[in-house]
Amino acid sequence: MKGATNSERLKNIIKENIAAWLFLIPYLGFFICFLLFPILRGMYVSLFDAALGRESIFVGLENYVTIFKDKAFWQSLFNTLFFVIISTPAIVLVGFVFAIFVNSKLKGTTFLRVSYFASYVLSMAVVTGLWIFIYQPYTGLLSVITNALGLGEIYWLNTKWLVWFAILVTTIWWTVGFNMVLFLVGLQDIPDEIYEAAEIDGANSRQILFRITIPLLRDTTVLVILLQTISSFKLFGQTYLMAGGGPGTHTRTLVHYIYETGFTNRRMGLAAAMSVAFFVVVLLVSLLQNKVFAKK
Amino acid sequence: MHFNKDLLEEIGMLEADGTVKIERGEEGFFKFFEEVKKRAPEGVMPISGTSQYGLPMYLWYTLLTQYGGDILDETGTKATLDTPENKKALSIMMRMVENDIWPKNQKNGAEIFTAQKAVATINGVWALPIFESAEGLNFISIPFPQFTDTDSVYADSHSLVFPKNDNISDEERKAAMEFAVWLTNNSAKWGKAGHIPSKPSVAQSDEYQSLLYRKDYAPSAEYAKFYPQSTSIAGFTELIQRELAAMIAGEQDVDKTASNLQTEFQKLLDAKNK
Repeated sequence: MKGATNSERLKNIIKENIAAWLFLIPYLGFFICFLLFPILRGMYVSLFDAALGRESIFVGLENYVTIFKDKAFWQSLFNTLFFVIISTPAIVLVGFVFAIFVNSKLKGTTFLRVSYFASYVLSMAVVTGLWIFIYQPYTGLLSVITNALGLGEIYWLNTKWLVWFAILVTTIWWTVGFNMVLFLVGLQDIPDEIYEAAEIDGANSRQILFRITIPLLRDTTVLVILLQTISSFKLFGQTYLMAGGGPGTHTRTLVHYIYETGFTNRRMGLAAAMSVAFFVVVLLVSLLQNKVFAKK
Repeated sequence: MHFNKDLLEEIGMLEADGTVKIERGEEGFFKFFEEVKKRAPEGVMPISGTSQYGLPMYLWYTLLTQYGGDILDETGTKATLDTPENKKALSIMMRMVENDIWPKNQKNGAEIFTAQKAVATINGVWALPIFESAEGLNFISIPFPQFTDTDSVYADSHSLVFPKNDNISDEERKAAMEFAVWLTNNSAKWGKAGHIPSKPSVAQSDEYQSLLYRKDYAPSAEYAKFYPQSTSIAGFTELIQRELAAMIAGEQDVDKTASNLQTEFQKLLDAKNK
């Protein structure tokens, strides 16, 4: 008897496994074909002097030596890291503040939720087109305001450092809705009883924020920071479309430089090596974050 | 180069025959536009033109070749950009920028012109349909002014490419050629988009000559100058556009721009010629 149940159980386990795998296969197929394979292939190509339209030559680690000595590579890495450092805290913080705001039980918060999130659904080209119109000198929206105030023309997108500010504001406006929604979900998971208990105990709103809300949102915050960091690392469209990576190469990010090396100058091997180096940088930062935020 | 006819008339700088006259040479050019600047109404700039991407490059290569320079030597392996000719071309651009004849950091040169906020604009032939469809805009188009005795203007073209293919038959190859010939023989229609036909016979045809504006600048095709043939042109285009935009924005001077162009372009050439 006992043996029969065991074999039945085994059968069930096999059945369940087959079902699970059948569900997983479509995703895994895509993952392997369009993500894992290209990543491995990219690593392989990075060892070649590869260009479109001619045969590749094996060069070992030469591409890595080249990028290590390439000032432009380090500059674009710096630009990317700089944006990660200024944008991550800013977008996370603004998202958090908005979430607290729209989570309150005031009237009209549904409208605010929608309007804060609305810009997130727009495409990159639309967003940058809109903000170029706002920033452009002579005929732009801000130009009219600064001229009326007697400040004259401000060249937002053509002045070193100021251009980063302009791009940061654009990015916050565009993407903050996503972080807001994540925080909002986190906030709604905090049971009301805890707040009620705190109020009965006489906690003021500041204490509630710092002793209850923020600590209980820890997991959400870690997730938001991680996702935001990765998305900031991928910066390309805003700087490329709004400032052309300029003035000069001041806002040329690593993704932009990889694109330029691979597709404009058609040096695929070198571009692949840069991508691998970029992958390592993002991996290191993610590991570091994991360590910092690890549950004690 | 295109001019707003009404604005020119308003400031008394339109010739009696409805054209515009700019003396040959650097001083002639600046004399004309300094005068335009002086007379232009408040909020109207002398020249509009987007200060990044293609436009500064077209202007730059026009000037560079008028002064007898080019980007490469005959061997196609050495960049020739840290030269007096290049510095002269760059300086002229900066003279236009710094004297507010061509105010810096423009993002929408064509739009400023169609909004009648500029007396003149520098733009390619393809901008013509936009100008024609702008309500209330009366304009004239002329070949870009010449700064030296060497006539030259930047040009690029739409090209038909036949990829090398050993698998196609002679018949197919002939058919492709016939198609190309037919297309170039019937390209007057193409002129509606502003383009100058590649065949002189087509450019002289009644069909093309009857189009407004086109025949006024079509003669510049005679001395149009293309970039030299090089596999590094795509990379160079990116480089020159970036360097010019930075110079116009005031982030680097003429000497720095010339030396950046020289080193960076040489790097691109060396990478291809390894």
